[in-house]
Amino acid sequence: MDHPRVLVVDDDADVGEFLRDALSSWNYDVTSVASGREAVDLISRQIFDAALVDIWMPEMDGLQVLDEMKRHDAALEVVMMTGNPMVETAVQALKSGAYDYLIKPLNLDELQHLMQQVLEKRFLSREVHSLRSRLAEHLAVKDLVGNSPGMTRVREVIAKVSDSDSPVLIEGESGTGKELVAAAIHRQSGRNKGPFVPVNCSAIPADLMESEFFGHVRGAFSGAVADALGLFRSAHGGTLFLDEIAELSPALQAKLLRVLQEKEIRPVGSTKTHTVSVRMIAATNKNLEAVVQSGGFRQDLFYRLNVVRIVVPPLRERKSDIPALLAYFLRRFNERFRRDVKGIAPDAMAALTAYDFPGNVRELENLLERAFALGARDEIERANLPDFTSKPDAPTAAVVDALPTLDQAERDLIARALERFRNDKEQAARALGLTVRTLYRRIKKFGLI
Amino acid sequence: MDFRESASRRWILVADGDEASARFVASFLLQARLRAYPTARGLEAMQLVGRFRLGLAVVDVHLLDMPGCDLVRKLRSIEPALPVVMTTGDYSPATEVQARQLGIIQYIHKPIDLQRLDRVVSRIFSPDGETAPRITVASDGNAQT
Repeated sequence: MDHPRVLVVDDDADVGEFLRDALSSWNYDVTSVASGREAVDLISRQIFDAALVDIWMPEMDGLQVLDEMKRHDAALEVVMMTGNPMVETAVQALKSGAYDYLIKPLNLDELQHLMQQVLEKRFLSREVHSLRSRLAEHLAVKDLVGNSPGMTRVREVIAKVSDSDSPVLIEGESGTGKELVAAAIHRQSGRNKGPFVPVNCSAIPADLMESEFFGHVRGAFSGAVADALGLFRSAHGGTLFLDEIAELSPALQAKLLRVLQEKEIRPVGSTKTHTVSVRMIAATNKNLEAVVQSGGFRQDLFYRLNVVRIVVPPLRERKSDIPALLAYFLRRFNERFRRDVKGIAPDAMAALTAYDFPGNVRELENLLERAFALGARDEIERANLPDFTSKPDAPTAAVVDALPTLDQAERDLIARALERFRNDKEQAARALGLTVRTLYRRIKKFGLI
Repeated sequence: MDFRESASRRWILVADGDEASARFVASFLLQARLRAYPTARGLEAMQLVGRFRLGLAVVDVHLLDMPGCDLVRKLRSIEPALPVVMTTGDYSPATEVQARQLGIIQYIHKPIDLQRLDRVVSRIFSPDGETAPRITVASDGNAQT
């Protein structure tokens, strides 16, 4: 098989050698040169599939090399590298059409993934991305679709709880649409004129949670330049949707419990309390009761939140909804891609209904979008869908198949780095772009001692 | 937590109608070995998201060509799970209420507290803390690695 050809341009011989080793071990055909001039000279005589170019080089710098390369072959994918990242070079590299901008020390996982991406014949995810950005509009699913017994029950409970002000706990796997359920409750409730404030509890650093939730007064801490409302007061008169509630720190759990009991909050640094009228809807993809049992979540808070519990069923338990979901997404994607796909071919339908959808509705949506991006016209055919036996996100190009697994390549490189630096773990770790601790862990994992 | 997987492969967009401010924040992030791209315009930001996966967007309420909240909505139509930090020099509560309805992970008044930003960024780009950027902020407010 013809190996993809990669040109490495770096005046640092060690980096050049390192990259040559790494890329050859992944079955790339590597040519390495030490100056921009040599590189420019070479690309006029040889064809390459991709280039890795250092930005800081004497004589002719990497950005000039990039311009020359693009002038010569606009389709050549050029990845810029730098040990000294700066706004100017990052902006200029991207504006000149670089494929990406890597910061040294290079991370091998990142590099391997990037090279696969660069060389995959179809830049599928990227195509989907640029298509989406050209047609930017709000695409997220807004409706709860389906009439399976499971979804009908969910809708009944939503209708029932909308009138009351009691907290709601929503449980369901990722991609089942928990936020949609929360938004539907808000929309159907008397609070629908008020704000709906969603927050992902797992994304907020623990030590910043208190001020995010309860706000702060000016001067409460350095950086508190003005009073901030925080989430609760921002949601006053409306609904606060706490996603991934199981990730809340114990301290915050205690404070949240108090808010549920007292209906008032005290901003950080303030002596005054504020009464808030907020309906709380919490959601989790875990079994919160089990988290309580293992001691990760307060029981009293669980009881307070669990007044009404809605379990959103996974797609595999409501497969009868698949046709309705498909019709829904076909309509949306037809609009967006300006196509007229009329339906799903029987073999494609059979494959879809036989599949388990670990990523639930979101995965189904992504599959259809991918089919559209791949050019589905009249109807979605089996060939427009990925091989369900493999991981849905795994790259599919032949180039990838020829490569060793990440584990193999990693083991190989670590062994070589240890050899080169005569078992000096610190030096080897630096060369590999790993922390010493991580290196030790990998050494143990791969049994390299 | 789909936004966390492979976060290190992703870019950080820094959009601020005050371009010097966007560049300052981007340069701080670049020094922390994260890839950041500054812009003062929403349209330029949309071009970037068409080419690169974003792991985080730091968006000011005011951009040169569109309100920051509009940009966040557009970005989310492409990266639905994109974590967003909103910044603003506008201290009015109404602005905060509007921004928070977008489901943001942090609301930061200007001048931006870089230590706070660093903690938010670390949470997203190295949740286990293993490769957390080691940034200290000197008393003059300059970032150092």
